[in-house]
Amino acid sequence: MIAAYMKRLEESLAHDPGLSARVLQEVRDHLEEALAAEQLDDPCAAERRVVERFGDPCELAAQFAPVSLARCARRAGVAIALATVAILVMMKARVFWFAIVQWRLSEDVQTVANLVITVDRYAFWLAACIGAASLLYIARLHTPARLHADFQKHLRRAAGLFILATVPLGVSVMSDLALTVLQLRTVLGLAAVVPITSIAIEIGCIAVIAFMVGNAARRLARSELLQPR
Amino acid sequence: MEGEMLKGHLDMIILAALSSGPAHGYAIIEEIRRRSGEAFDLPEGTIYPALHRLQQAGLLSSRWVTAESGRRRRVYALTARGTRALAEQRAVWQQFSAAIRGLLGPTHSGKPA
Repeated sequence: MIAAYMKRLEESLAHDPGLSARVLQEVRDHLEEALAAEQLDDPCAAERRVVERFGDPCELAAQFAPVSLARCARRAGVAIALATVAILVMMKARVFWFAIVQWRLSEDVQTVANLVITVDRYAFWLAACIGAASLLYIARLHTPARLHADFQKHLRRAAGLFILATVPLGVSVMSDLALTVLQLRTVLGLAAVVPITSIAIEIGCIAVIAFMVGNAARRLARSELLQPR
Repeated sequence: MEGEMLKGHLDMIILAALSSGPAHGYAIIEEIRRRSGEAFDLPEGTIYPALHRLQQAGLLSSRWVTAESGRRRRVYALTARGTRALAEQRAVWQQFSAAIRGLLGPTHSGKPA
């Protein structure tokens, strides 16, 4: 009976594998300890009592929904902040490297490069500001005991902020890529490893963020599906 | 006692149960039963979402330990912020219960002042 209960709980928490693993281990420990404290003259009856006292697994999973969604939102917010810092470090490292090896853009691409640099700068700082705002918004969000309309509204707003931060961050990375291509157009060689590696890291960061934010936005936007039916 | 009435105060009940020291979920339930004189009897599973929520709010910390039985279990403890929150909730509750006692107590004559 305990095994069947654990199976139902696992199915109910399948939307969040990380949380599910931790909760299942805690619940298994609880049920086994409760069973050990029971009179074992009739093991089946003892298991039934233990499971009944624990409560309905679907109801339990519904109570975990706000915790799971808040965790998902916090992770996305922190990931955006970390990616923004990583992209800034890569940009500065590249500029520093270009100064060391004394690479300058050729005159024929200077006008285009200036335009791309402007777009890059504004897009990056816009992303940084929105990212910081989304992190603050999530940090101040109180996780309720049960999902309710007001909390869901806040989650949808947070998802919107995540998307709004990711789009300009993506534009900034694409601008960095364009600038690096312009820079490396004429000079290639061992010294090009640093800018190529740094731009690869930036693209990796934005790909991870786009995946995480997309995933979080889908979950936060569909949070009503986690309510018990 | 009514489950719904208890759920409204579950956070405070858990913080109070952990004020005597770190404990895992089952031990917290036992502590709540013991200290409430068996009056509080919630569905036991209810405590786990609340523990996770309180940890998320920074009021509890937790770590895995291996019990004597060899099972791994999560042990929860009050953080400094949790201790402060409990003190605040205790003060609010004492004010509230004093006000209710004043309203329902035997000295109340029932006549307006």
